[in-house]
Amino acid sequence: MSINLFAIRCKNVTKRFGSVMAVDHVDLTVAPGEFLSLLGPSGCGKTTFLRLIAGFEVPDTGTIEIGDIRVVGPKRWILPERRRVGMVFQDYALFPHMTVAKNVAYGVRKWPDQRERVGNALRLVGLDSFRERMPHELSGGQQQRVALARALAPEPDVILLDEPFSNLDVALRARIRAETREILDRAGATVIFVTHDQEEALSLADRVAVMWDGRIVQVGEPEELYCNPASREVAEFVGSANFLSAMVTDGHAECALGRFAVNGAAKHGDLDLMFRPEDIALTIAPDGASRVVAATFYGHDSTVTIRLETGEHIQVRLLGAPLAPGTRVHCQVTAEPRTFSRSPQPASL
Amino acid sequence: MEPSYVYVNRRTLLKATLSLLPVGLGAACATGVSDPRGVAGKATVTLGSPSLTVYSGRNEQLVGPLLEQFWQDTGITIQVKYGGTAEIAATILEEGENSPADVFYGQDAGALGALQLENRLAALPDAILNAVELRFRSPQGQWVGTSGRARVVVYNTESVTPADLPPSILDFTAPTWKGRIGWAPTNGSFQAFVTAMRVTLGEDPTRAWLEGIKANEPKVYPKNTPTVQAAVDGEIAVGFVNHYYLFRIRAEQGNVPAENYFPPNGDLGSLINVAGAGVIAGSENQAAAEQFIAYLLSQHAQEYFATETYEYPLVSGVAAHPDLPALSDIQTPDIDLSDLADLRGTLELLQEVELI
Amino acid sequence: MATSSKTTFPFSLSETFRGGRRTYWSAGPPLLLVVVSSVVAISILLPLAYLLLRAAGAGDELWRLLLRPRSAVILFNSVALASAVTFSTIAIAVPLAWLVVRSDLPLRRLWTGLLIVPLAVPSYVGGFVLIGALGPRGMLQRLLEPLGVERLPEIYGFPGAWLALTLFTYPYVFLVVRAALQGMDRTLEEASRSLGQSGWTTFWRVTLPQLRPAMAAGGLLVALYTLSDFGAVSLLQFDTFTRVIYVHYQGSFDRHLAAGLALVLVCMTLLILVLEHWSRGRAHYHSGTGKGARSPRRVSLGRWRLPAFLLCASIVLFALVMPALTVSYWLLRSVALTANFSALPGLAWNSLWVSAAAGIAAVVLAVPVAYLTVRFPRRLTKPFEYAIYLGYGLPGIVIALSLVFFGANVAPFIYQTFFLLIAAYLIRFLPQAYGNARTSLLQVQPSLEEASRSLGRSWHGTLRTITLPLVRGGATAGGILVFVTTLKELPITLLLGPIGFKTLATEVWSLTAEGFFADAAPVIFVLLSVSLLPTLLFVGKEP
Repeated sequence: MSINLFAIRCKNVTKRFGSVMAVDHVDLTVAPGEFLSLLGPSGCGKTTFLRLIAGFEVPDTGTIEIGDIRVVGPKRWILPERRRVGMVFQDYALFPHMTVAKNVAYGVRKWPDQRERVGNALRLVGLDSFRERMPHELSGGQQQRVALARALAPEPDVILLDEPFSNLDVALRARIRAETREILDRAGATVIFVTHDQEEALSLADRVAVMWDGRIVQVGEPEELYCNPASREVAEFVGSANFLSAMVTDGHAECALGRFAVNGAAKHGDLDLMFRPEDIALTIAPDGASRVVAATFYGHDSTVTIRLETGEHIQVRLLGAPLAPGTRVHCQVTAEPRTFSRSPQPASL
Repeated sequence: MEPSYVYVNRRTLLKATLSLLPVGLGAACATGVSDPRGVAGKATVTLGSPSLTVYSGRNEQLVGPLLEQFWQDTGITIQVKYGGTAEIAATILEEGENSPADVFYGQDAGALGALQLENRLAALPDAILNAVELRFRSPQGQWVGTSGRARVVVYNTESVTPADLPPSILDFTAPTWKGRIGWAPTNGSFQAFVTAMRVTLGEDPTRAWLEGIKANEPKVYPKNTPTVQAAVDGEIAVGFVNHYYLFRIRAEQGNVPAENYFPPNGDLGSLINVAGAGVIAGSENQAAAEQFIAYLLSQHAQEYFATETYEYPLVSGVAAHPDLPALSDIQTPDIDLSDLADLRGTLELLQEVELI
Repeated sequence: MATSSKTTFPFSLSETFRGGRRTYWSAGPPLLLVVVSSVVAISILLPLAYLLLRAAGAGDELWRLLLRPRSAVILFNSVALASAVTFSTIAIAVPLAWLVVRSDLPLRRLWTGLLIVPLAVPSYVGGFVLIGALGPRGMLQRLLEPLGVERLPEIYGFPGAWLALTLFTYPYVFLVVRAALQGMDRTLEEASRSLGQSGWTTFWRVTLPQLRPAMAAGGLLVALYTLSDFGAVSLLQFDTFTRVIYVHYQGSFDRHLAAGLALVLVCMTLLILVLEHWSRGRAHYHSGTGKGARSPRRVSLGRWRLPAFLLCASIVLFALVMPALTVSYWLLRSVALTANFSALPGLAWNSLWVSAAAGIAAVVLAVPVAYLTVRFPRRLTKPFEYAIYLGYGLPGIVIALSLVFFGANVAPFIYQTFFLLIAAYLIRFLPQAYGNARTSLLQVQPSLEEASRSLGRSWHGTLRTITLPLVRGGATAGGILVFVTTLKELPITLLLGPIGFKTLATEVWSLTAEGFFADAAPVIFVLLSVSLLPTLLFVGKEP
């Protein structure tokens, strides 16, 4: 048995629905045991991409390999049921006419160790005592875990999760997320996990692939993605971002928050500088040129909107209580800004 | 289910068996194959005995026992497909050359004419044709009438006295009959009557009569049975129907307040129409088929019609039901009842007057 | 993104890819499904081919007939009757279905059974019953005679035809709406209640719109049945297109003209199909998972219990008790009861097995076709759906004669066999099974099937273990509709049945046609009982 450098490899995969390019020439490689999150706004094609891997859609072009098997390619098509891919659906898709145990046993029917596997899978998700319940007798979180146990029971090489937490209420979500990650780690599966929630993606995944308009615009570890977004879209989608227009002269960009050295960018011309909300410190100054116009309190932290003297608005994150609107402040940048070429319409925040 | 299984109304059969004497053409033509069956009901088919397929537009309740008797008397296995006369005729037409039918036994001459027109009937031997008067058989010799019925006016005796009834059916256009008449313009017997009227009186008087009745706002029924029932129930005062339905309702419901009125003096109102039979062209059982038709004209079959279905026997020597005026007293205009050209003209007239 | 309606299954690729002869761009439905559906669709189109063939021989007379002013009146009559019956059946059936599924009405199961049975009343019996009971001098008038009532208002014409067809066809809508209510996601109603809407407003603004596909499916069955009915309109004297078609068969034996007229009926059927499609709206997927299928929380009727009871009781009174009483009266007034009970078991058995065979065959064929039309793109499968409904809008005599023609001349080896007889039933009644199968398939989320595939099951394994168990209830309801409708079928049984084959329905027809009402009475009772038994069995087995 050869050792693979990848669990999933997609090359040049394209899928079109009528005139809509749902998946646009996507290349992606996932390492064995990796937990990859596919992040993007709704409608960006990420669910379609997942369905292409699972075999529920046929791509127009490209190849997909799972393990050492090419499942899709020219003159090649492996049926979904032969791909050894487990899938957890957004609506969980539990079979309503079967008990929890029968749902979990569905994928390991006639396996010699069926009983054992069902027991293990249910123990793994902590639902061993719910074997004889019907799906409709379970809470949302329990249904989600049954779906997970069902997908894990045949020990597939790859597990695909399609927004599995979106149907859960917020209080439950954080806990189930952590539990799920733990369960999947214990199972040792390779995971692709689709979400539109950047916080979910950043907090759970080993690597995050950001999808935009059918294309994967950036793949990277969460920190890298956050600190070095490849584009304005990524910057905006992964965390919140303030963009300020700047004029570059002699390798330095001048914006409302000051003058910063820029590397590699054009020596002259217009640029946008991106600051994360937590990269700006505020000091209360009655003679300050900036003013608080709005504030939102989150408990552990708060966000205030500042109107700069140029008329631009930025958002700043503060620890603890916010400042009252009307307060005059002075802003100080605590980290290097990222530069982006000027977009046609500057972001107004 | 064995296809040759034929249900038999045991009571009627018993009655029929007792009332009939094994005489006439049927017995004379019997093939001599002995019939092993002792009782009515499920029959075992004797190997090698001829088998006959009859398509009957006549109702099983009326002729079933007679056909069963034919089987018993002749040993000829008989399979019958029952249905409405028009539907059965259309079936034979659609089946074309491949029709399994040997005989068509229909309720009215028009259906026989339709088959004759499309060359679906074979010529009958003179011996059979000559058994009935010329006016009750096909001029081309392809079908023969087996029993007759008269057009009559059925009236409710609680709302009409015999004195109120006009001498001729033509007089029902009078305003006194407004809202009191029932008829069935879509019914074949009624249409035959209109055809007779057109031939006798001409196109325009017939149209005038139809419009006159229509102006009297008659109730429209789909066929004779509900018309007669409506007269019995007093829904209508008079209805233009065939004579025998009243007898049948009496047999079931007892002495009902209704009577038949035969307009006197050979009035059109009491035209005679026939039920008849023909052999299907290309039948492989030509002889048995002719034997069957001959049986329908045998004395005991004719008596059966007179006593069981209250129809007119058409073969001389068999008396009609005593309540009926003699056949010879009823004048029939000189028309071919099966002439579809005449029938089409009638339909066009009825369409023109917007009755169908 | 990737909505369920866009789901495609590359089923057909399963085997072809091993040989590598085809590329995966040509993904489509499984060949087996396409073949089954095509055979079904082509069989159902046979009558249409026959009509075109026959109508070609009609010539100018057809145009003269069609263009006369009276045709417009008859056309209007047909449309008016079909619309009126459709609306009134929906108005009756929706509240009844709601009561037996969602309220705490006592004896819900019994009511359900009793409310389905009127379907088994043949319209030619229903017509006689209505005249006998409510006619100007019918039973009701006789009851009221001591009070000085000489005549009742006219029942003939539109009111009678409308009443008869409403009373004996509303169960089509009732069954479909009932099934939809059972599968409906209650969280939406709860959401509406939580938004401060009253129960009543919720029903109108949330429940009813969700029932729209079911009402449209049931209404379609009623509208087409009404269009093709002959028994009730002829007895109750209302001129519709079907009646005119029969007149041409019966009066002039003119198959060509009748076929031409029937083609007009085909056009009307197509028009109704387009209307239904439009009114169905964008058929949405009901939630078939988890929450939706939760055991019902019944609405307490409170002070509405009596009115609700009266509603159910009055429908059963008119549609079931009244026919039973009228038929009993036929027995009572008879002086010479000649009823022949010895034949009844045989007739009942014939009716039972041939109808059961038709019902089962209908389900077996309707489910694959429905699967095709639900799971694959509509632009490909719509022709199948339209084809299926065409036969249902045609009078039975037209279907029967077309199959007489094809049977005797093209396939004599099956002519007048049970095979062709049951095929003919299916050609006429398949939509009843199809509509139910389709509605219940729409409630099965495609993700359930996908989950099964990803767990290693083939498409047929998935069909067997997931899809079929989930649509079983709806499909069975469709089979029961076909069963009950076949029980009372007449023209096809008469013309296409093997020689000598008789059923309860042909016996009832044979007896009533010649006025032997008393003799017909016991047969009618057996007919109703035979249809009641499987219906109650079905309702009783439900969880």
